[in-house]
Amino acid sequence: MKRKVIPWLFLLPSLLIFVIFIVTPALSSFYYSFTDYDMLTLRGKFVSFSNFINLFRMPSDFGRVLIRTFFYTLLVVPLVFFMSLLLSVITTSDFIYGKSFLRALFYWPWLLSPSIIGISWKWFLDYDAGLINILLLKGGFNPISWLIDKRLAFLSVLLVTVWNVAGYFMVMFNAALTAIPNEVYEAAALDGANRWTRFWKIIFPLLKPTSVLVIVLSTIMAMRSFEVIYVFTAGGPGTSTTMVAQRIYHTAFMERRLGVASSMSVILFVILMILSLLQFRILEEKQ
Amino acid sequence: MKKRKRVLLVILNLIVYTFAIFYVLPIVWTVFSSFKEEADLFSWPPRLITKLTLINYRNIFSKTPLPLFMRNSFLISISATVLTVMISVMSGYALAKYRFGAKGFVSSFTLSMLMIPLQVIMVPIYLVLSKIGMINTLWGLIIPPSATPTGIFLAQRYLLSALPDEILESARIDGAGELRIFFRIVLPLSTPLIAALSVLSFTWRWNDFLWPLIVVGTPKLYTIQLALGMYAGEHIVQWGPLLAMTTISMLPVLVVFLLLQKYFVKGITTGAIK
Repeated sequence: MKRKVIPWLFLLPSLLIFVIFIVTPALSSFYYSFTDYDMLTLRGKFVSFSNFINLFRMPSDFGRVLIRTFFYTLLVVPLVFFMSLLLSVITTSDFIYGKSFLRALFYWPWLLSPSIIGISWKWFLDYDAGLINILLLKGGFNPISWLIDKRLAFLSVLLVTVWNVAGYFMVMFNAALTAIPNEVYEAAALDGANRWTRFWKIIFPLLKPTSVLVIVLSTIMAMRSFEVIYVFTAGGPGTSTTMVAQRIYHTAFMERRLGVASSMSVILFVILMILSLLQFRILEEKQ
Repeated sequence: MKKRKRVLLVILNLIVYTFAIFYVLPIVWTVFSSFKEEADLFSWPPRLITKLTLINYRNIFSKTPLPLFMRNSFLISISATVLTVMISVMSGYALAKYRFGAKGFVSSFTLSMLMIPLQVIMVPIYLVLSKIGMINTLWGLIIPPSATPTGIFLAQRYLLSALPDEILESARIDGAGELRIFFRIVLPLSTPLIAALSVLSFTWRWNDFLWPLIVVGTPKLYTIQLALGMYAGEHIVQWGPLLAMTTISMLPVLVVFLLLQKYFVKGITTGAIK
Protein backbone atom coordinates (compact mmCIF):
# COMPACT_ATOMS: atom_id res chain seq x y z
CA MET A 1 0.00 0.00 0.00
CA LYS A 2 2.64 2.47 1.10
CA ARG A 3 4.83 1.57 -1.86
CA LYS A 4 2.04 2.53 -4.22
CA VAL A 5 1.60 6.03 -2.86
CA ILE A 6 5.25 6.98 -2.88
CA PRO A 7 5.76 7.51 -6.65
CA TRP A 8 2.70 9.73 -6.67
CA LEU A 9 4.19 11.87 -3.94
CA PHE A 10 7.30 12.36 -6.05
CA LEU A 11 5.16 13.18 -9.08
CA LEU A 12 2.84 15.50 -7.21
CA PRO A 13 4.64 18.83 -7.73
CA SER A 14 5.00 18.49 -11.48
CA LEU A 15 1.51 17.09 -12.02
CA LEU A 16 -0.01 19.82 -9.89
CA ILE A 17 1.76 22.54 -11.88
CA PHE A 18 0.79 20.95 -15.19
CA VAL A 19 -2.86 20.68 -14.20
CA ILE A 20 -3.16 24.17 -12.74
CA PHE A 21 -1.04 26.13 -15.19
CA ILE A 22 -1.37 24.22 -18.45
CA VAL A 23 -4.38 21.90 -18.53
CA THR A 24 -6.84 24.24 -16.83
CA PRO A 25 -5.97 27.23 -19.02
CA ALA A 26 -5.99 25.10 -22.17
CA LEU A 27 -9.45 23.73 -21.41
CA SER A 28 -10.84 27.06 -20.30
CA SER A 29 -9.63 28.71 -23.48
CA PHE A 30 -12.01 26.43 -25.39
CA TYR A 31 -14.79 27.62 -23.11
CA TYR A 32 -13.89 31.31 -23.43
CA SER A 33 -13.70 31.04 -27.21
CA PHE A 34 -17.49 30.61 -27.26
CA THR A 35 -18.12 33.68 -25.08
CA ASP A 36 -17.76 37.43 -25.39
CA TYR A 37 -15.84 37.84 -22.13
CA ASP A 38 -13.99 41.07 -21.77
CA MET A 39 -10.80 41.41 -19.84
CA LEU A 40 -11.77 44.42 -17.72
CA THR A 41 -15.05 43.32 -16.19
CA LEU A 42 -14.37 39.58 -16.60
CA ARG A 43 -17.99 39.19 -17.58
CA GLY A 44 -19.59 37.86 -20.70
CA LYS A 45 -22.13 35.50 -22.14
CA PHE A 46 -22.20 32.46 -24.36
CA VAL A 47 -22.20 33.47 -28.02
CA SER A 48 -21.81 30.07 -29.68
CA PHE A 49 -19.69 30.16 -32.84
CA SER A 50 -20.03 33.83 -33.57
CA ASN A 51 -16.43 34.68 -32.56
CA PHE A 52 -15.11 32.18 -35.08
CA ILE A 53 -17.51 33.35 -37.77
CA ASN A 54 -16.60 36.99 -37.16
CA LEU A 55 -12.88 36.24 -37.34
CA PHE A 56 -13.28 35.05 -40.91
CA ARG A 57 -15.92 37.51 -42.05
CA MET A 58 -14.62 39.52 -45.02
CA PRO A 59 -12.61 41.69 -44.98
CA SER A 60 -10.98 39.47 -42.43
CA ASP A 61 -8.09 41.05 -40.58
CA PHE A 62 -7.36 37.83 -38.70
CA GLY A 63 -7.46 35.90 -41.95
CA ARG A 64 -4.73 38.14 -43.30
CA VAL A 65 -2.59 37.64 -40.19
CA LEU A 66 -3.11 33.89 -40.44
CA ILE A 67 -2.14 33.84 -44.12
CA ARG A 68 0.90 36.01 -43.38
CA THR A 69 1.97 33.59 -40.65
CA PHE A 70 1.61 30.65 -43.04
CA PHE A 71 3.56 32.50 -45.71
CA TYR A 72 6.28 33.39 -43.21
CA THR A 73 6.44 29.75 -42.06
CA LEU A 74 6.59 28.55 -45.65
CA LEU A 75 9.67 30.70 -46.21
CA VAL A 76 11.31 30.18 -42.81
CA VAL A 77 11.28 26.39 -42.88
CA PRO A 78 13.35 25.77 -46.04
CA LEU A 79 15.70 28.62 -45.17
CA VAL A 80 16.27 27.24 -41.67
CA PHE A 81 16.67 23.77 -43.08
CA PHE A 82 19.40 24.60 -45.57
CA MET A 83 21.12 27.08 -43.29
CA SER A 84 21.39 24.60 -40.42
CA LEU A 85 22.47 21.86 -42.81
CA LEU A 86 25.16 24.16 -44.19
CA LEU A 87 26.35 25.07 -40.69
CA SER A 88 26.41 21.41 -39.79
CA VAL A 89 28.44 20.44 -42.84
CA ILE A 90 30.89 23.25 -42.09
CA THR A 91 31.32 22.24 -38.46
CA THR A 92 31.78 18.53 -39.17
CA SER A 93 33.97 18.88 -42.24
CA ASP A 94 37.56 17.60 -42.22
CA PHE A 95 38.83 20.69 -44.00
CA ILE A 96 37.91 23.36 -41.49
CA TYR A 97 40.10 24.41 -38.59
CA GLY A 98 38.66 25.23 -35.17
CA LYS A 99 35.45 23.30 -35.65
CA SER A 100 34.35 23.32 -32.02
CA PHE A 101 34.94 27.06 -31.87
CA LEU A 102 32.75 27.55 -34.95
CA ARG A 103 30.11 25.22 -33.53
CA ALA A 104 29.87 27.31 -30.37
CA LEU A 105 29.80 30.51 -32.41
CA PHE A 106 26.96 29.38 -34.70
CA TYR A 107 25.03 28.02 -31.72
CA TRP A 108 25.33 31.25 -29.78
CA PRO A 109 22.32 33.11 -31.29
CA TRP A 110 20.08 30.36 -29.93
CA LEU A 111 21.20 31.31 -26.41
CA LEU A 112 20.31 34.97 -26.76
CA SER A 113 17.05 36.26 -25.36
CA PRO A 114 14.29 37.68 -27.59
CA SER A 115 15.13 41.15 -26.26
CA ILE A 116 18.82 40.89 -27.07
CA ILE A 117 18.10 39.60 -30.56
CA GLY A 118 15.40 42.16 -31.26
CA ILE A 119 17.45 45.11 -30.00
CA SER A 120 20.72 44.08 -31.64
CA TRP A 121 19.15 43.58 -35.04
CA LYS A 122 17.06 46.72 -34.77
CA TRP A 123 20.30 48.58 -34.10
CA PHE A 124 22.26 46.69 -36.78
CA LEU A 125 19.65 47.60 -39.42
CA ASP A 126 18.93 51.12 -38.13
CA TYR A 127 18.48 53.59 -40.98
CA ASP A 128 20.85 56.27 -39.64
CA ALA A 129 23.27 54.45 -37.39
CA GLY A 130 23.13 50.76 -38.31
CA LEU A 131 26.37 49.16 -39.45
CA ILE A 132 24.93 47.97 -42.78
CA ASN A 133 23.77 51.41 -43.82
CA ILE A 134 26.99 53.05 -42.65
CA LEU A 135 28.99 50.62 -44.79
CA LEU A 136 26.68 51.25 -47.74
CA LEU A 137 27.14 55.00 -47.34
CA LYS A 138 30.92 54.65 -47.11
CA GLY A 139 30.87 52.56 -50.26
CA GLY A 140 28.95 55.30 -52.07
CA PHE A 141 25.56 53.58 -52.06
CA ASN A 142 22.22 54.78 -50.77
CA PRO A 143 21.17 53.55 -47.33
CA ILE A 144 18.38 50.97 -47.27
CA SER A 145 15.20 51.51 -45.27
CA TRP A 146 15.26 48.02 -43.73
CA LEU A 147 12.60 48.41 -41.07
CA ILE A 148 10.64 51.25 -42.67
CA ASP A 149 9.70 49.53 -45.90
CA LYS A 150 7.04 46.85 -45.36
CA ARG A 151 8.56 44.23 -47.63
CA LEU A 152 12.08 44.77 -46.40
CA ALA A 153 10.85 44.57 -42.81
CA PHE A 154 9.25 41.20 -43.55
CA LEU A 155 12.46 40.06 -45.19
CA SER A 156 14.47 41.26 -42.17
CA VAL A 157 12.20 39.31 -39.82
CA LEU A 158 12.78 36.18 -41.92
CA LEU A 159 16.52 36.72 -41.81
CA VAL A 160 16.56 37.22 -38.05
CA THR A 161 14.42 34.14 -37.42
CA VAL A 162 16.74 31.96 -39.50
CA TRP A 163 19.80 33.43 -37.79
CA ASN A 164 18.22 32.84 -34.37
CA VAL A 165 17.37 29.16 -34.72
CA ALA A 166 19.79 27.72 -37.31
CA GLY A 167 22.43 26.88 -34.68
CA TYR A 168 19.93 24.86 -32.68
CA PHE A 169 19.10 22.64 -35.64
CA MET A 170 22.77 22.51 -36.62
CA VAL A 171 23.39 20.53 -33.43
CA MET A 172 20.71 18.02 -34.46
CA PHE A 173 22.27 17.59 -37.90
CA ASN A 174 25.71 17.30 -36.31
CA ALA A 175 24.51 14.39 -34.20
CA ALA A 176 23.11 12.68 -37.28
CA LEU A 177 26.15 13.37 -39.47
CA THR A 178 28.65 12.08 -36.92
CA ALA A 179 26.52 8.97 -36.40
CA ILE A 180 27.05 7.93 -40.01
CA PRO A 181 29.73 5.22 -39.96
CA ASN A 182 33.06 5.97 -41.62
CA GLU A 183 32.64 3.04 -43.99
CA VAL A 184 29.79 4.86 -45.68
CA TYR A 185 32.04 7.82 -46.42
CA GLU A 186 34.81 5.55 -47.65
CA ALA A 187 32.47 3.57 -49.87
CA ALA A 188 31.08 6.83 -51.22
CA ALA A 189 34.59 8.05 -51.99
CA LEU A 190 35.27 4.93 -54.03
CA ASP A 191 32.16 5.71 -56.01
CA GLY A 192 34.17 8.31 -57.88
CA ALA A 193 31.57 11.06 -58.11
CA ASN A 194 32.55 14.50 -56.83
CA ARG A 195 31.87 15.62 -53.28
CA TRP A 196 28.76 17.59 -54.11
CA THR A 197 26.90 14.69 -55.78
CA ARG A 198 28.24 12.27 -53.21
CA PHE A 199 26.73 14.35 -50.41
CA TRP A 200 23.29 14.68 -51.97
CA LYS A 201 23.13 11.15 -53.38
CA ILE A 202 24.50 9.17 -50.44
CA ILE A 203 24.82 11.18 -47.23
CA PHE A 204 21.73 13.36 -47.44
CA PRO A 205 19.23 10.46 -47.76
CA LEU A 206 20.73 8.95 -44.60
CA LEU A 207 19.77 12.11 -42.72
CA LYS A 208 16.12 11.72 -43.54
CA PRO A 209 14.78 11.08 -40.01
CA THR A 210 16.61 14.13 -38.68
CA SER A 211 15.59 16.19 -41.71
CA VAL A 212 11.93 15.47 -41.16
CA LEU A 213 12.23 16.27 -37.47
CA VAL A 214 13.96 19.58 -38.24
CA ILE A 215 11.23 20.50 -40.70
CA VAL A 216 8.41 19.73 -38.26
CA LEU A 217 10.08 21.45 -35.30
CA SER A 218 10.94 24.57 -37.29
CA THR A 219 7.38 24.69 -38.62
CA ILE A 220 6.02 24.66 -35.06
CA MET A 221 8.52 27.33 -34.02
CA ALA A 222 7.66 29.57 -36.95
CA MET A 223 3.90 29.23 -36.48
CA ARG A 224 4.11 30.41 -32.88
CA SER A 225 6.70 33.16 -33.43
CA PHE A 226 6.10 36.11 -31.20
CA GLU A 227 8.67 37.47 -28.76
CA VAL A 228 11.62 38.21 -31.05
CA ILE A 229 9.42 39.97 -33.59
CA TYR A 230 7.63 41.82 -30.78
CA VAL A 231 10.89 43.47 -29.72
CA PHE A 232 12.44 43.68 -33.21
CA THR A 233 9.67 45.36 -35.24
CA ALA A 234 6.69 45.31 -32.83
CA GLY A 235 4.81 43.76 -35.75
CA GLY A 236 5.27 46.82 -37.91
CA PRO A 237 5.51 48.89 -39.98
CA GLY A 238 1.73 48.83 -40.07
CA THR A 239 0.96 45.21 -39.41
CA SER A 240 3.37 43.89 -42.02
CA THR A 241 5.24 41.62 -39.59
CA THR A 242 2.41 40.82 -37.15
CA MET A 243 1.94 37.08 -36.68
CA VAL A 244 -0.92 35.15 -35.07
CA ALA A 245 0.52 34.96 -31.55
CA GLN A 246 1.09 38.70 -31.43
CA ARG A 247 -2.44 39.32 -32.65
CA ILE A 248 -3.73 37.10 -29.82
CA TYR A 249 -1.67 39.02 -27.29
CA HIS A 250 -2.85 42.36 -28.64
CA THR A 251 -6.51 41.36 -28.79
CA ALA A 252 -6.46 40.08 -25.22
CA PHE A 253 -4.26 42.55 -23.39
CA MET A 254 -4.63 45.77 -25.40
CA GLU A 255 -8.14 45.52 -26.83
CA ARG A 256 -9.22 43.48 -23.80
CA ARG A 257 -11.42 41.21 -25.92
CA LEU A 258 -10.82 37.97 -24.12
CA GLY A 259 -13.44 35.89 -25.91
CA VAL A 260 -12.19 36.78 -29.37
CA ALA A 261 -8.55 36.27 -28.35
CA SER A 262 -9.47 32.82 -27.05
CA SER A 263 -11.03 31.87 -30.38
CA MET A 264 -7.81 32.88 -32.12
CA SER A 265 -5.86 30.80 -29.59
CA VAL A 266 -8.03 27.78 -30.28
CA ILE A 267 -7.37 28.07 -34.01
CA LEU A 268 -3.61 28.34 -33.47
CA PHE A 269 -3.81 25.52 -30.93
CA VAL A 270 -5.46 23.15 -33.40
CA ILE A 271 -2.84 23.93 -36.05
CA LEU A 272 0.03 23.38 -33.62
CA MET A 273 -1.61 20.22 -32.24
CA ILE A 274 -1.68 18.64 -35.69
CA LEU A 275 1.98 19.54 -36.19
CA SER A 276 2.96 18.18 -32.77
CA LEU A 277 1.20 14.88 -33.35
CA LEU A 278 3.18 14.64 -36.56
CA GLN A 279 6.35 15.30 -34.57
CA PHE A 280 5.64 12.51 -32.08
CA ARG A 281 4.89 10.05 -34.87
CA ILE A 282 8.27 10.86 -36.38
CA LEU A 283 10.10 10.62 -33.06
CA GLU A 284 8.56 7.21 -32.45
CA GLU A 285 9.56 5.99 -35.88
CA LYS A 286 13.07 7.27 -35.27
CA GLN A 287 13.40 5.23 -32.08
CA MET B 1 49.00 18.96 -56.89
CA LYS B 2 49.62 19.01 -53.16
CA LYS B 3 50.33 22.72 -53.20
CA ARG B 4 47.10 23.43 -55.02
CA LYS B 5 45.21 21.48 -52.40
CA ARG B 6 46.73 23.48 -49.63
CA VAL B 7 45.82 26.78 -51.31
CA LEU B 8 42.26 25.55 -51.72
CA LEU B 9 42.17 24.61 -48.06
CA VAL B 10 43.28 28.07 -47.03
CA ILE B 11 40.73 29.75 -49.28
CA LEU B 12 37.95 27.50 -47.97
CA ASN B 13 38.84 28.36 -44.38
CA LEU B 14 39.00 32.05 -45.21
CA ILE B 15 35.49 31.93 -46.69
CA VAL B 16 34.11 30.05 -43.70
CA TYR B 17 35.69 32.41 -41.17
CA THR B 18 34.51 35.50 -43.06
CA PHE B 19 31.02 34.04 -42.96
CA ALA B 20 31.43 33.34 -39.23
CA ILE B 21 32.44 36.93 -38.58
CA PHE B 22 29.34 38.18 -40.39
CA TYR B 23 27.26 35.72 -38.39
CA VAL B 24 28.09 37.35 -35.07
CA LEU B 25 28.47 40.88 -36.42
CA PRO B 26 25.07 42.17 -35.19
CA ILE B 27 26.02 41.24 -31.63
CA VAL B 28 29.57 42.52 -31.93
CA TRP B 29 28.21 45.80 -33.32
CA THR B 30 25.84 46.09 -30.35
CA VAL B 31 28.63 45.54 -27.84
CA PHE B 32 30.98 47.88 -29.69
CA SER B 33 28.35 50.63 -29.99
CA SER B 34 27.57 50.43 -26.28
CA PHE B 35 30.99 51.98 -25.63
CA LYS B 36 30.27 55.06 -27.74
CA GLU B 37 28.81 58.36 -26.65
CA GLU B 38 25.25 59.06 -27.74
CA ALA B 39 26.46 61.92 -29.95
CA ASP B 40 28.95 59.66 -31.73
CA LEU B 41 26.31 57.00 -32.33
CA PHE B 42 24.38 59.36 -34.59
CA SER B 43 27.16 61.58 -35.90
CA TRP B 44 26.93 62.83 -39.46
CA PRO B 45 28.59 61.73 -41.60
CA PRO B 46 28.60 58.43 -39.66
CA ARG B 47 31.93 57.23 -38.37
CA LEU B 48 32.81 53.66 -37.53
CA ILE B 49 35.64 54.39 -35.16
CA THR B 50 35.11 56.94 -32.44
CA LYS B 51 36.52 57.37 -28.98
CA LEU B 52 35.32 54.76 -26.53
CA THR B 53 33.73 55.59 -23.21
CA LEU B 54 32.05 53.95 -20.25
CA ILE B 55 29.50 56.73 -19.89
CA ASN B 56 26.54 54.53 -20.94
CA TYR B 57 27.45 51.98 -18.32
CA ARG B 58 27.84 54.62 -15.64
CA ASN B 59 24.45 56.03 -16.62
CA ILE B 60 22.51 52.78 -16.54
CA PHE B 61 23.79 51.97 -13.09
CA SER B 62 23.14 55.41 -11.65
CA LYS B 63 20.13 56.69 -13.61
CA THR B 64 18.04 53.57 -14.33
CA PRO B 65 16.76 50.86 -11.98
CA LEU B 66 19.15 48.37 -13.61
CA PRO B 67 20.42 46.99 -10.27
CA LEU B 68 16.81 46.22 -9.33
CA PHE B 69 16.12 44.53 -12.69
CA MET B 70 19.25 42.44 -12.31
CA ARG B 71 18.34 41.49 -8.77
CA ASN B 72 14.88 40.38 -9.98
CA SER B 73 16.38 38.40 -12.84
CA PHE B 74 18.92 36.64 -10.64
CA LEU B 75 16.39 35.96 -7.90
CA ILE B 76 13.88 34.47 -10.34
CA SER B 77 16.39 32.51 -12.41
CA ILE B 78 18.14 30.97 -9.44
CA SER B 79 15.10 30.06 -7.39
CA ALA B 80 13.23 28.74 -10.44
CA THR B 81 16.29 26.67 -11.30
CA VAL B 82 16.41 25.13 -7.82
CA LEU B 83 12.72 24.28 -8.13
CA THR B 84 13.11 22.90 -11.64
CA VAL B 85 15.96 20.66 -10.56
CA MET B 86 14.02 19.32 -7.57
CA ILE B 87 10.78 18.78 -9.48
CA SER B 88 12.48 17.19 -12.48
CA VAL B 89 14.61 14.79 -10.46
CA MET B 90 11.65 13.82 -8.27
CA SER B 91 9.35 13.12 -11.21
CA GLY B 92 12.09 11.54 -13.28
CA TYR B 93 12.96 9.28 -10.34
CA ALA B 94 9.33 8.21 -9.90
CA LEU B 95 9.06 7.38 -13.61
CA ALA B 96 12.40 5.62 -13.77
CA LYS B 97 12.52 3.58 -10.59
CA TYR B 98 9.00 2.83 -9.35
CA ARG B 99 6.46 0.44 -10.76
CA PHE B 100 2.89 1.64 -10.61
CA GLY B 101 -0.22 1.23 -12.70
CA ALA B 102 -0.63 4.61 -14.31
CA LYS B 103 3.01 5.08 -15.27
CA GLY B 104 2.34 4.97 -19.00
CA PHE B 105 -0.42 7.48 -18.61
CA VAL B 106 1.73 9.86 -16.55
CA SER B 107 4.48 9.64 -19.19
CA SER B 108 2.20 10.49 -22.08
CA PHE B 109 0.45 13.16 -20.04
CA THR B 110 3.80 14.82 -19.32
CA LEU B 111 4.85 14.49 -22.96
CA SER B 112 1.58 16.03 -24.14
CA MET B 113 2.36 19.18 -22.14
CA LEU B 114 4.90 19.93 -24.88
CA MET B 115 2.04 20.34 -27.33
CA ILE B 116 0.59 23.31 -25.47
CA PRO B 117 2.99 26.22 -25.87
CA LEU B 118 2.60 29.33 -23.76
CA GLN B 119 1.73 31.41 -26.83
CA VAL B 120 -1.53 29.49 -27.13
CA ILE B 121 -2.67 29.71 -23.51
CA MET B 122 -1.35 33.10 -22.47
CA VAL B 123 -4.86 34.55 -22.23
CA PRO B 124 -6.47 31.97 -19.90
CA ILE B 125 -3.23 31.57 -17.96
CA TYR B 126 -3.44 35.24 -17.08
CA LEU B 127 -6.91 34.59 -15.66
CA VAL B 128 -5.77 31.58 -13.65
CA LEU B 129 -2.85 33.54 -12.24
CA SER B 130 -5.03 36.47 -11.30
CA LYS B 131 -7.59 34.19 -9.64
CA ILE B 132 -4.96 32.71 -7.35
CA GLY B 133 -3.29 36.07 -6.80
CA MET B 134 -0.05 35.40 -8.65
CA ILE B 135 -0.19 38.33 -11.07
CA ASN B 136 2.50 40.87 -10.25
CA THR B 137 4.29 38.56 -7.85
CA LEU B 138 7.64 36.85 -7.96
CA TRP B 139 5.89 33.53 -7.28
CA GLY B 140 3.95 33.94 -10.51
CA LEU B 141 7.25 34.15 -12.35
CA ILE B 142 8.96 31.33 -10.47
CA ILE B 143 6.46 28.53 -9.89
CA PRO B 144 4.43 27.96 -13.10
CA PRO B 145 7.35 27.51 -15.53
CA SER B 146 9.39 25.40 -13.12
CA ALA B 147 7.90 22.05 -14.18
CA THR B 148 9.03 21.16 -17.69
CA PRO B 149 8.56 17.91 -19.62
CA THR B 150 12.07 18.30 -21.04
CA GLY B 151 13.57 18.39 -17.54
CA ILE B 152 11.53 15.43 -16.36
CA PHE B 153 12.47 13.24 -19.33
CA LEU B 154 16.12 14.21 -19.07
CA ALA B 155 16.02 13.10 -15.43
CA GLN B 156 14.12 9.90 -16.20
CA ARG B 157 16.54 8.91 -18.94
CA TYR B 158 19.59 9.67 -16.81
CA LEU B 159 18.35 7.81 -13.72
CA LEU B 160 17.30 4.78 -15.76
CA SER B 161 20.84 4.24 -16.92
CA ALA B 162 22.98 5.76 -14.17
CA LEU B 163 21.28 4.61 -10.98
CA PRO B 164 21.48 0.83 -10.41
CA ASP B 165 18.45 -0.79 -8.76
CA GLU B 166 20.76 -2.77 -6.47
CA ILE B 167 21.82 0.34 -4.58
CA LEU B 168 18.20 1.26 -3.90
CA GLU B 169 17.30 -2.28 -2.88
CA SER B 170 20.19 -2.65 -0.46
CA ALA B 171 19.34 0.72 1.10
CA ARG B 172 15.76 -0.49 1.58
CA ILE B 173 16.98 -3.70 3.16
CA ASP B 174 19.04 -1.58 5.53
CA GLY B 175 15.78 0.04 6.51
CA ALA B 176 16.23 3.47 4.92
CA GLY B 177 13.00 5.38 4.26
CA GLU B 178 12.02 6.42 0.73
CA LEU B 179 12.64 10.10 1.37
CA ARG B 180 15.99 9.36 2.94
CA ILE B 181 16.93 7.26 -0.09
CA PHE B 182 15.99 10.12 -2.38
CA PHE B 183 18.01 12.75 -0.54
CA ARG B 184 20.96 10.58 0.52
CA ILE B 185 21.37 8.38 -2.56
CA VAL B 186 19.45 9.58 -5.61
CA LEU B 187 20.33 13.27 -5.43
CA PRO B 188 24.05 12.81 -4.69
CA LEU B 189 24.36 10.30 -7.55
CA SER B 190 22.71 12.71 -9.98
CA THR B 191 25.36 15.43 -10.03
CA PRO B 192 25.88 15.45 -13.83
CA LEU B 193 22.11 15.47 -14.32
CA ILE B 194 21.67 18.31 -11.87
CA ALA B 195 24.39 20.27 -13.63
CA ALA B 196 22.72 19.83 -17.02
CA LEU B 197 19.30 20.73 -15.66
CA SER B 198 20.64 23.80 -13.89
CA VAL B 199 22.39 25.09 -16.98
CA LEU B 200 19.30 24.66 -19.14
CA SER B 201 16.87 26.03 -16.60
CA PHE B 202 19.00 29.04 -15.73
CA THR B 203 19.30 29.93 -19.42
CA TRP B 204 15.57 29.55 -20.05
CA ARG B 205 14.59 31.64 -17.05
CA TRP B 206 17.23 34.32 -17.54
CA ASN B 207 16.27 34.78 -21.20
CA ASP B 208 12.56 34.44 -20.66
CA PHE B 209 10.46 37.22 -22.11
CA LEU B 210 6.90 35.94 -22.47
CA TRP B 211 6.29 34.88 -18.85
CA PRO B 212 7.32 38.22 -17.38
CA LEU B 213 5.35 39.98 -20.12
CA ILE B 214 2.18 38.19 -19.02
CA VAL B 215 2.71 38.17 -15.27
CA VAL B 216 4.36 41.51 -14.55
CA GLY B 217 2.68 44.89 -14.77
CA THR B 218 4.81 47.09 -12.51
CA PRO B 219 8.38 48.19 -13.26
CA LYS B 220 9.29 47.12 -9.73
CA LEU B 221 9.14 43.47 -10.81
CA TYR B 222 10.68 43.86 -14.28
CA THR B 223 13.31 41.34 -15.15
CA ILE B 224 16.20 42.70 -17.15
CA GLN B 225 14.83 41.09 -20.32
CA LEU B 226 11.39 42.58 -19.88
CA ALA B 227 12.90 46.00 -19.12
CA LEU B 228 14.94 45.80 -22.32
CA GLY B 229 11.84 44.98 -24.32
CA MET B 230 9.94 47.87 -22.79
CA TYR B 231 12.75 50.38 -23.34
CA ALA B 232 13.16 49.21 -26.93
CA GLY B 233 9.47 49.75 -27.56
CA GLU B 234 9.47 53.39 -26.50
CA HIS B 235 8.89 56.08 -29.09
CA ILE B 236 12.26 57.70 -28.61
CA VAL B 237 14.78 54.99 -27.91
CA GLN B 238 17.80 55.96 -25.81
CA TRP B 239 20.21 53.85 -27.79
CA GLY B 240 23.39 54.38 -25.77
CA PRO B 241 22.03 53.15 -22.43
CA LEU B 242 19.87 50.51 -24.12
CA LEU B 243 22.85 48.94 -25.89
CA ALA B 244 24.86 48.96 -22.67
CA MET B 245 22.03 47.24 -20.83
CA THR B 246 21.70 44.69 -23.64
CA THR B 247 25.40 43.92 -23.41
CA ILE B 248 25.22 43.40 -19.66
CA SER B 249 22.15 41.19 -19.98
CA MET B 250 23.95 38.67 -22.18
CA LEU B 251 26.88 38.16 -19.84
CA PRO B 252 25.45 35.59 -17.36
CA VAL B 253 24.32 33.15 -20.05
CA LEU B 254 27.55 33.66 -21.98
CA VAL B 255 29.62 32.81 -18.91
CA VAL B 256 27.50 29.75 -18.15
CA PHE B 257 27.73 28.67 -21.79
CA LEU B 258 31.50 29.03 -22.02
CA LEU B 259 32.05 27.12 -18.79
CA LEU B 260 29.49 24.36 -19.25
CA GLN B 261 29.07 23.99 -23.00
CA LYS B 262 28.65 20.23 -23.09
CA TYR B 263 25.46 20.31 -21.04
CA PHE B 264 23.65 22.40 -23.63
CA VAL B 265 24.21 19.80 -26.30
CA LYS B 266 22.87 17.12 -23.97
CA GLY B 267 19.65 19.06 -23.66
CA ILE B 268 19.18 19.33 -27.40
CA THR B 269 19.91 15.80 -28.41
CA THR B 270 17.09 14.54 -26.23
CA GLY B 271 15.11 15.76 -29.21
CA ALA B 272 12.57 17.89 -27.42
CA ILE B 273 11.91 21.58 -27.19
CA LYS B 274 11.07 23.11 -23.87
